[in-house]
Amino acid sequence: MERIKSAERSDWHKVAQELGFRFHTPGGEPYWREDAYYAFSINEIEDDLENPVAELEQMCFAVVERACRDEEVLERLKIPRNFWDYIQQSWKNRARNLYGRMDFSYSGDGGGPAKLLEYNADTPTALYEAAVFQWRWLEDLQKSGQLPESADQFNSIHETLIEAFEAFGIEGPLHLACEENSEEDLGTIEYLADCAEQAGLSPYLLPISAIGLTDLGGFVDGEDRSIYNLFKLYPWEWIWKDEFAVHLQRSRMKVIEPPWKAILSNKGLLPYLWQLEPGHPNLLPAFFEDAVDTEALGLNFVRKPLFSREGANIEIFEDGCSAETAGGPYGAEGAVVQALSPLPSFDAMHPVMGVWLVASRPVGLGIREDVGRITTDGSRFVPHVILE
Amino acid sequence: MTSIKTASTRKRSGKVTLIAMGAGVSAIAVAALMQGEEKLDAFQFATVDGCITSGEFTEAYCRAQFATAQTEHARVAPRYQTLADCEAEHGPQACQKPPQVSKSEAVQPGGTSDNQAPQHASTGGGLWMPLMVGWMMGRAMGGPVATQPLYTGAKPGTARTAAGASVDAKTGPVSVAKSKAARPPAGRLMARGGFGRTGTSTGMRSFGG
Repeated sequence: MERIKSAERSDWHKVAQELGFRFHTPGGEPYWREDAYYAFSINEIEDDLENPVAELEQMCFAVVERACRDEEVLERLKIPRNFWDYIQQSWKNRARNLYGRMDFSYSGDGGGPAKLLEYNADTPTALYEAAVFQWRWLEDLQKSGQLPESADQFNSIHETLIEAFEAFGIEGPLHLACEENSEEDLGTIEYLADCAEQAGLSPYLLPISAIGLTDLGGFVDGEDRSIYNLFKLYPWEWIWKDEFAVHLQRSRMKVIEPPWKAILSNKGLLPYLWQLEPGHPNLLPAFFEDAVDTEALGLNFVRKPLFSREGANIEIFEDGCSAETAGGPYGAEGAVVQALSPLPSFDAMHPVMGVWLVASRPVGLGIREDVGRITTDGSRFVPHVILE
Repeated sequence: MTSIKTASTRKRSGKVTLIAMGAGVSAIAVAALMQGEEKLDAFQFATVDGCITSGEFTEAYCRAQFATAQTEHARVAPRYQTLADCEAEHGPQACQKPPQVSKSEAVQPGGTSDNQAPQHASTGGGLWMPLMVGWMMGRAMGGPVATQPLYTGAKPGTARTAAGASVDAKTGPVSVAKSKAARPPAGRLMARGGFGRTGTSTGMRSFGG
């Protein structure tokens, strides 16, 4: 694994416009960067990322299984009791899931196994740039001769998303909802709508606040059409607190990601994975804050609120003292602690490997790097290639 | 050792095509991706006999679809506070109060005379609803055309779906816009805005970082 400096395509802004990539420079800060890329060997991709992710996903399923037998798990994850049955039923009914992203600390062959930092199993973004724009970047650099024809990329995200939508068995339209004020979220559901349409579905986009409730307990869109299938780029733990949540189970509306994904997107997943296979090479010791094995954890660790996202409220401890922290609104529900696996440094940048799963299969990689050690929404996306 | 990868071993999508993104479809809008909507082949009938004599379907299929439409009628028929509201949408003598079983002379799609409109007494207490005068269905079950009841429209020569979409009041094969053939909505709107408040109050995007 190497970070290689590279000339930007002179016309990439134009290409971005053609491909509908509008959030590459939010607030004037570049998010998409192609002045460098990461190069991997095929063995690094397959042995160190792809295969471990397939295995970790199976372990995640075991945690969901446990949550369906043992309600202490749901209690621990601070999921409100009145949604337990809804979650458990969705797993028992084998409700299909669409996608997720596992984030790893990894520095390449010889640097030790990739360590799972967290699983964004419910509302991951950075999807479009990994699936489409990164793919196009490689095509363009091959055409211009900057990269050899033999160069490849761990990235069949686009193809597998379409296959997954085809396999969902969705009848009727598919509504896709997000909050209306985020260009990035909107870009994500637009892209998923595009994939859904290519899979033969009828997608409709709407702001999540436009959803209405009828007197018969069903949900409708802004034009009063029934919503039978809803993709929501809006986390389950926020839904629990929303007024309409109590009507979900009875409505029989199919929701993607399915309710059982709430177990995996919770940071409490990390201690349960560690309990399942302590010492697993791709796991870091992790504990609920009130049940720490201090010897296994060590003095360098990270505190993560159960429901945090975008790096908010993450706090790094070194020698037992707080060393770096990111502010934010999370933390009221409690936290987990996880042994610190510092992100490697390449040209003073700290990359985090985001391995994409579609329908629970590892199918691609997107790398975000940050000058700081906590990857936040201010980080930048950098493409990758497989060179040998 | 560097090796040239064949299509079967490569680890990336063979082709990445976008059909709507970047094609000028951008603002968040319901039905934003439904421009130039696809038409579907469907059938409309007023009676089971009409369905059978069309020669397109077996008797069993016709009966099953009629039964499905009846069930859907109970679930999705539009409800109105007053008879006048209902008749304004569906024309004179096209409405009933659900608990009352009456054989009214409902207008048929296509204007035929016999009537098999179901009389459901189970739902919608106190509200008025239109009589089912026929139904729409597809050639096969589980296809894109949802079997659903049809009601008379206020305009002559038109029928309406439960979702309020206007279709031609004719029987036999028809061509219907995809969105109109979808399974209709159920119930009247009670409230909006019950999803999304938690996100707004945290001030965070739902980004999965």
